[in-house]
Amino acid sequence: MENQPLNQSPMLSESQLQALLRLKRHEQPPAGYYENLLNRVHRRQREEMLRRPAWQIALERIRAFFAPLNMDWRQAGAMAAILVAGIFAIRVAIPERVVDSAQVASIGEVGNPQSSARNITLQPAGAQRVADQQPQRIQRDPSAPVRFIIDTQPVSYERTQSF
Amino acid sequence: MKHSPRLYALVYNMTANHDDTDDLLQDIWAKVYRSIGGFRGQSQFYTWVHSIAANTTINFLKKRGRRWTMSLDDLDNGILQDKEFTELQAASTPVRDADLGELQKKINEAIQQLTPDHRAVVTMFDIQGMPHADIAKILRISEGTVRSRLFYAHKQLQAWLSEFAPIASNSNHA
Repeated sequence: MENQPLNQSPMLSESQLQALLRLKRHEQPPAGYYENLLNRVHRRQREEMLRRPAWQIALERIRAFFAPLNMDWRQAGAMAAILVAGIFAIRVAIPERVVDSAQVASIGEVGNPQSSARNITLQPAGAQRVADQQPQRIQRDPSAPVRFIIDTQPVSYERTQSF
Repeated sequence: MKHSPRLYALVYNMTANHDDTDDLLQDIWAKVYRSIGGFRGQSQFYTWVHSIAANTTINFLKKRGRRWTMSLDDLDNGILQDKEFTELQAASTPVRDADLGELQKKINEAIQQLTPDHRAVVTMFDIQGMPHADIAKILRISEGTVRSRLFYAHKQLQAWLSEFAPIASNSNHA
């Protein structure tokens, strides 16, 4: 401390000193100061938010999300370890299915688009047969003029208002 | 936000500068909003907020060092009606003779010579009238430490403000 107290008398008494210090209560901020304080705080928060990296904000949000759970991190860690051990135990207990060569061949056929069009269908078996009997598409001559053919016939030419 | 006037008084009486106080107060409220999730309710909200304010201000003062400018002409005219002030004027000729601005300047200069830790204790106890127990909780120190800091700070302030001591003939009335 640069300025050491001077041991000179007379000195202020304890109560006089306290009375002098209490005069500082009269030093007040400008009128209306507290009314705008909240707006200024919000503005500063937004500025701070823009300055901070995204990962920090994300981490803070995660913390805030888990905060109400009042979770002990040791308990959470133990729970996570038990879950991982459980998954590992299940994987060990249930052996993986052995894939034989016949299955591989059928998978290969399924992988072929032409064979898949033949084997995989959502239609009933009868419909599949009808589909097979339909004529093959005729390859169009690219030099021929384009013709538009309407395949379907209307059910009726009568206007709907007639009945 | 209802604690703002008390927080303002705490910060202002430690910094003696309105601009710094305004800046710090915004910083303090931003910190409070940010860490409200961590408030466990083990202490009163009032104590928790004051603790953030005191620590933020002490850290600021330690960084600022001795570079500071005082805000003057902020005295409320109410001081002239203050009972303690009129008693002081009656008891002490120097106080009576000093104008308000000068008195304010001297008191602030004396307080600013204290270390930030001592200043915090003096501000909370002498100016804001907080009990020792509350100050101890806010600063996370023992009540004994609060008392010893107060004792040391008072001794220094009494010496630095000795010019306002009543002269011998008036001291009996003090």
